[in-house]
Amino acid sequence: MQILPYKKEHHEFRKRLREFCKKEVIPNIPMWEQQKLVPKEVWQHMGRSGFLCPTVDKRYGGLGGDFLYSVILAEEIAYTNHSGLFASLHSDVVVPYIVSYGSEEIKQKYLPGCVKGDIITAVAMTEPDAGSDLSSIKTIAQDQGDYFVLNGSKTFISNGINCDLVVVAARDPDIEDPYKAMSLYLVEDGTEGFNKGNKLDKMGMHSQDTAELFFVNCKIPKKNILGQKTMVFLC
Amino acid sequence: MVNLDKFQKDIIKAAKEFAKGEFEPEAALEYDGEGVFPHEVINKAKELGFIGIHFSEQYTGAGLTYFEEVILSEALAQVDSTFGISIMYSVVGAEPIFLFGSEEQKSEFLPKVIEGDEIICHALGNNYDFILGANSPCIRVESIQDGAFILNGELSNVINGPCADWLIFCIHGSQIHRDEDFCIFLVPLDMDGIEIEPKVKGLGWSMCPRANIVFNNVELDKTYFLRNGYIGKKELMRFWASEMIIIAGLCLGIAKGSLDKALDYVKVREQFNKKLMDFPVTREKISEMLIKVLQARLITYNAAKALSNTTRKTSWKKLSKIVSQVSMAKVSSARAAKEVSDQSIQLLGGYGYMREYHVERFYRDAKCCELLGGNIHANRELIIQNAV
Ligand SMILES: Cc1cc2nc3c(=O)[nH]c(=O)nc-3n(C[C@H](O)[C@H](O)[C@H](O)COP(=O)(O)OP(=O)(O)OC[C@H]3O[C@@H](n4cnc5c(N)ncnc54)[C@H](O)[C@@H]3O)c2cc1C
Repeated sequence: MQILPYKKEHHEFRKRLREFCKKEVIPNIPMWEQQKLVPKEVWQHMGRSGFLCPTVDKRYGGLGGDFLYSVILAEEIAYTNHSGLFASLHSDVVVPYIVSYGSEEIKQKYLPGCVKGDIITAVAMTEPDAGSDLSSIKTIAQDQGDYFVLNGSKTFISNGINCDLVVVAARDPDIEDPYKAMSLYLVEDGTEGFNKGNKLDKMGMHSQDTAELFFVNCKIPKKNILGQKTMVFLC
Repeated sequence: MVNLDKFQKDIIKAAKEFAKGEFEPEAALEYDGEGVFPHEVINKAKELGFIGIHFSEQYTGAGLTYFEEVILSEALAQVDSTFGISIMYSVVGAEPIFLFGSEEQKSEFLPKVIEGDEIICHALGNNYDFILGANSPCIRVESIQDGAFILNGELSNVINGPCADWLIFCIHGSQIHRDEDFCIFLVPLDMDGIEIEPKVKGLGWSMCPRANIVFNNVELDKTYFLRNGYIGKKELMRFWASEMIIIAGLCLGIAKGSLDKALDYVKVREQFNKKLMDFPVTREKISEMLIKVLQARLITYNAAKALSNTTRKTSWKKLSKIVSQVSMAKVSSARAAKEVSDQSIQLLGGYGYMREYHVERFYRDAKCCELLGGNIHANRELIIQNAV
């Protein structure tokens, strides 16, 4: 009996994805595990083959599919027995922040690249002293008129080395209530003051580039805030 | 509860001091990463007399018992399981000589292993299948020519195979019409026809390299026999019990060592403006871990004492009962090690998953303890066979 209402298109998507993994992923896993990184070209190949961000709207180059496509993506990557190519984190955790809270301008700027695999994303919430208790993060985003200026450090960030775009959680230092002070900001790789640390050496998931990220007087444009300011704990 | 005399307490103290001084965390990460056998640290352990303490003094041992081996294993593994395992396991291959060797063989080989630089590995784990009723020989007797056996086949996953000088293995007697016996050999590994194929590093026990040892028409006459070449099931059982009890001791160290790390951590880490230790969930977890450690320790100490009192003359019935206890000790200590180290990782959160925090390695080592020294099915079979 089929519990999830898969349709013919879903099955075809799964079949094509499995074929892709068989050819492009599985044979390379030993090498990636050793290098502790998945080459960016693989992300691009995957994106151009239509497997990244399957739920993103067609307007931005996506498949416009339902969440079952995401389920299939998660299942098939897990089935390859490695987690370096963390396509689900990108497609179903980080990109949805942009889809849900990004302005139209931001969506047009980033979503097509996310779908094609030219932009790999990460989400940076955890800090050395703030894990389960997200409200206690210390990274701040100061409003300086034309810019937000970010200062702080993040750790355990998946896709931390490969990422081209990061969703960063930071506090407004002028607001006292920690639950109201927090917002999400987009930071592009290459922005001055944004530095990637070393890959963390883990028990497993060796090809996954989990890393520390540092922000030192990192200036980002005002429009890079996601959604309304201070809404993180509300939605 | 567990009464240790002053001498035994001193062993634990000395072992921990040694371990804290010699098991360098940086080296542990490197050796674990690359699968390095820690020769130097083992040689230091030898110099200080930590190797082969239950062997008789006449063979340069310390004349102690399996019980002291267990508390030593526990103390070393508590500080660092991977180093501890490697040290304790560096001498397990010599145990068959101590148990079954001729007087000359004991005098010749044991000092070389205890004080010298030589390493003996054993492949008697390849014979566990007979307990489970299977009998697929890894090594086949191709023929017997002028009293010499011509052997072919492969011994798999022999611990310390890549760095050992000698190998002890046995073949089930059914191949030579001696159903009740095992034919046992002691051979140099540089012999003609023997090939050593090192295996890639596994999940845990990474400082004990493993190899498959392949036999291509290896010719062995009776000069390669251990003792007179034949041992009975009872003797093989005693060997297995000696191996299981050491692993049980190592597991106690893994459980306690990982618990120590978790306790240190939850006392200082704060989330939600509270020490982790102050969350009821944490208190429940830690208390459960403490119970598991003590349960495993009691059953293991008890079994170690019983095993220490056995000799070659111990009756089959009595030995079976003791082997069953030892098996229970191994099964429950391995379980405690796995469960407690798992929870320790959990209590450290993301940090527990990072190698530099030295907690995840306890867990990887614990899992291997379930698979080695007779996998858990063989261990359980020894318990069942004694009961029914
Ligand atoms: C491989 C990996 C990838 C990761 N990727 C990312 C990423 O991409 N982006 C990102 O932002 N983060 C990432 N993380 C971080 C992850 O989200 C945190 O590890 C997690 O939030 C837990 O935080 P912590 O590690 O600081 O543990 P802590 O919060 O310090 O928790 C430690 C222990 O205390 C317990 N505990 C905490 N609070 C309570 C309470 N109130 N009551 C009872 N028990 C409690 C926890 O359950 C845990 O057992 C990643 C982590 C790992 C291991």
